[in-house]
Parts: sequence; C-alpha cells; structure tokens
Amino acid sequence: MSSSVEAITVLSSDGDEFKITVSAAKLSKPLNWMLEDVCFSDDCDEVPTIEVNSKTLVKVIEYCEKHAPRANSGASDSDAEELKKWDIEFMKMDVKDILFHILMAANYLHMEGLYDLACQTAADLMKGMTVSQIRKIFHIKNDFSSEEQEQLRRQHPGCSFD
Amino acid sequence: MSAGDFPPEILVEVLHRLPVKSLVKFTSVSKAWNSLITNQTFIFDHLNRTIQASNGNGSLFLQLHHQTIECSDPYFDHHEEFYSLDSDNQQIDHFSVERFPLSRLIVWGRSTVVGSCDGLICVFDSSLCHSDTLIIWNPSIRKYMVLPEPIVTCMTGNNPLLFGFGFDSRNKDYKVIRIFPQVEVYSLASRSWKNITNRAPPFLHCKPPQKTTQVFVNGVVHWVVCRRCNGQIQNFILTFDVVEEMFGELMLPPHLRESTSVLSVLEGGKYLSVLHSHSEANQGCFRIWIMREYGVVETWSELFCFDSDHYRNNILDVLALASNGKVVLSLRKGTIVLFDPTTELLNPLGDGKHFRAFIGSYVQSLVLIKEEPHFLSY
Repeated sequence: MSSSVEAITVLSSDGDEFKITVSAAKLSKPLNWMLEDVCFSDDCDEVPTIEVNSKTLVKVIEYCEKHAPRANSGASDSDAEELKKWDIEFMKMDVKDILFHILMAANYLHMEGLYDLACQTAADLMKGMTVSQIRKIFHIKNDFSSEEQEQLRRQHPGCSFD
Repeated sequence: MSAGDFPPEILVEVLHRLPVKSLVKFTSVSKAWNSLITNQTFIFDHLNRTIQASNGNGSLFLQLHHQTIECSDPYFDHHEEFYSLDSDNQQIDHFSVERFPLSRLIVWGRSTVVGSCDGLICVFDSSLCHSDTLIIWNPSIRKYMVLPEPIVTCMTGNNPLLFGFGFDSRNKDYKVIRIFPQVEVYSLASRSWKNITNRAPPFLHCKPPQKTTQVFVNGVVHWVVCRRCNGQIQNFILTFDVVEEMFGELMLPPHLRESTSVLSVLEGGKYLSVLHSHSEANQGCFRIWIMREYGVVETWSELFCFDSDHYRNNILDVLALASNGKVVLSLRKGTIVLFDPTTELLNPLGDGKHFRAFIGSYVQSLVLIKEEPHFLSY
C-alpha cells in the first residue's frame, strides 16, 4: 500500500462525494477493503459507492474521525471519559434516525463500537415509550383481536400496555 | 428502507438492551413482537446480557423483610412483609419497596427465601410443620407458582432438613431440592417432584435447619453442615450437582474444619464463599473465605476479617458479598448497610427499616413469562 494515500474518496448512495482519512476508514472492515482495493488497483480514479445516504454518511465519518486516534493507539482514562461524553452528544438525534440510518449503516459497515452505541441509545429511548409509539415508529399494525388483548392484560395485570 | 422490514437481527440486539418492564409491555405491540420476546432463546440471551452488563454496573440485591405494624391495642399488632430491590451502585437508582405479594400464601409462618437464581426467587413457609408450602416467584414480571405437595409431606415424615434451588444448564430447567432426609427434586420443566435414590452423606446441622443457608454457584447447590467423627465435630460443605442430581462434599479451609463457631455459605460474588463468625466475651469477629478456583481446596483464601467492635460494636452479621469487594452487613440497630473494607465506609442500603431480612443477589429476567396457566399473575 502506498504510504502517500492519506484519504480516500467515497460516494454516498445519493451520489455525493465524501473524503475519509485512511486511519478513520480502518474502523470499518468494508471501508478498509475498499481502501486496499483503491490503493492496489492501477485505476485509482474509480470512486467506490457506499450504500448509505449522505446525511448518515456525514455522521458515520464524523464518528470514525473522532474515534480513529483512540482505536489506533489506545487512550488514557481521561480520553476515554471525554470520548464517552462526546458519544452522548453525538447520539443526540431522533430515535428513527438512530434505528433506521445509524444502526443500519453501522451494521452494513461492520462498525462494532458505533453499532453497540446506537443499539444502547435506541434502547434507552425506547424503554419509556408506549406501545402505540413503538407501533408508529416501526409501522406495525396491531394484529391482536380484542379478546387476545384482554388475555394479555389478564396475564400481566400489573403492567400498563397503553 | 421502510420501517416494516427492519432487520430482525438488529431488532433483537436493541431489545436485548431493554429492561424487563419495557419488554413485558412490548409483548402487546404485535404477535410477531410477542413471540420474539417470549421465545426461550431470546429470554436466555437477554438474561446473559443483563448478567454481563451488571458485572460492570454493580450487583442488584433483593431483600425480603418483615415489619411489625403496631396498633393502638397491642393485641392487634401484626407483621407485614415487604420486598425491595437495591443496588450497590449508588448511581443506579433501583431502590423500590413493595408489599410482598404472596404473604397470603404463607399461612402459618413467615416467608423465608431458599435462594435466588436467574431472577427467580424460591420462597418457603418457615414455620416448621408448614414448610411444604414452596413458591417460585419472578418479581420482575409479577408472576409466581405454588409448587405441588412433595411426595413425603410434613404430615407423614420428619421435618425437612435442607432446601436448595438452582438451574440445570443442560436441560434448561430450574430445580428445587428438598432433603427430608429422603431426597426429592422438583423439576419446573416436568412440573413434578421425584425421589432421588442418591442419598446425601450423613450430616448434622451446624445451625437450626431454618437458618442453614444455601448458595448456588457453578451449577451446584452448597450448604455448610457437620458430622461427628471420632467424637470430634467436623464441618464440611455438602454439595448437590443440579445437572447430575448427585451429592458430594467439599472441604472447608483447614482453620474451619473443626471450628465450633458459626459457619455459613455467603450469597453474592462469583466465588464460593464462607462466612466464619466467631464470638468471644461479647466480641465478635467475622472472617470471609473464598474458594478462588472452584473445587480446589488449596485455593481457599481469607478475603478479609473484621471485628464487630468496628463502628462501636455495631455489626450484627454479614449478609452477602457485593461487587467491588464490598460486603452487605446488618447492624445492631436493624439497618442494612454496604461496607467497603478498604475505605471502611458504610452506606445504607434500602430504607433502613428492615427486620429479619433475606438478602441475595438478583437479576431482572423474563424467565417463565410464557408459563401459563401454571404461573399466576398478580
């Protein structure tokens, strides 16, 4: 691999171009494979496409750039503490964006850290929601008959299903 | 992508991180969500994740305690039972006190906890002749089950000697062991008692039967008992392997084998641990021993030792081990506290109004959510 390459250019699913540094790209296996392809191939002009929309890709790259120094070299406790705070700020977004964009992208790009963070944040946001809020987010139809619903209530009399 | 085809494997990962209370609520989202959440694999994966996460976050304890309610006419004084959840992590606010919902099932005595395992609590009636009342209870999902009468009942035989409660990991089954001295095992999967032909080695009690505690560690139930050997008292740990349904013995640390002090197994922590309470001339001394490598007698080591005159002769008993090397103590004035032996700091656990408390490690779980009609709701 040529050491002169410091950043690669990728295309989002919307066709926008993004630059990601080599060290940041290492946080994702597929991005790393693309990186190797780009560097080893003679035809370096080809820009790989990532099946993630622009809005989400911006966030994913932001996460990678922030976490890359620590992932590559290890960090002190104070850095880890600072990074934790940064993660909390970073995840301040709508639960639907987390579930349907960040989580899907982290899964697709094999990014364990981001995937775990997004799962936990989504769970924290979902835990206080009502059943109808959950149905709305996931576009789920209530397929219980009224008798079945009554039976569920009887099975868990201490639980509010509203 | 549309929300309707959200990948199920990602959904499962998110749901694994939800608390039990939310998951119970979400069983009513749809039939698909219901069968996902109440599925056996999901329940055990969720449980394992919760246990793993709790290793970093501190232990959760369940307390069962009795409180005397005083009336204007002392004739009407009565006791009520409560249970509470507490965490040794001050940052997690798990504390809650609720009335013990099953008091009415314990007709004669007071409820005593056999043990806790995977979020299930096994409770029995501690009055001697009614110890046939056994209940398995999951407080997180508010469900319980009264076990059928054992084959040999109190009416037909002697008083029960020992109880144990544990998980058979091979058959994914929860079992209650009752030594009468005839041995019977209740299997939750088969919902019945059976006689075990393997007999327990002869033993005597070091403590009154009701006070002999058990712990379930490493797939095995443990009790501290003793026997008379050439006129000498010899203490040992009686074991029952819940998978193989076989008895065994484990040697205690050499110092404790012939000790006449009070010995008991201790709840909490990942190691098998024994409490040695020694008192002399109104002064008590507590020593906690742990077996660092399970089954290897040479690895018994003293974790720490402290006198009851710490805190002005205030320490009454050691109740359990908590995470980060802390211990749960009961004080003479009746309160229960967390004690850090290195800093010697005491922190109250719960509301400080406990009496005769059981305290054991606890984890919130969905186990037995799908066990209608045997498991009843409240």
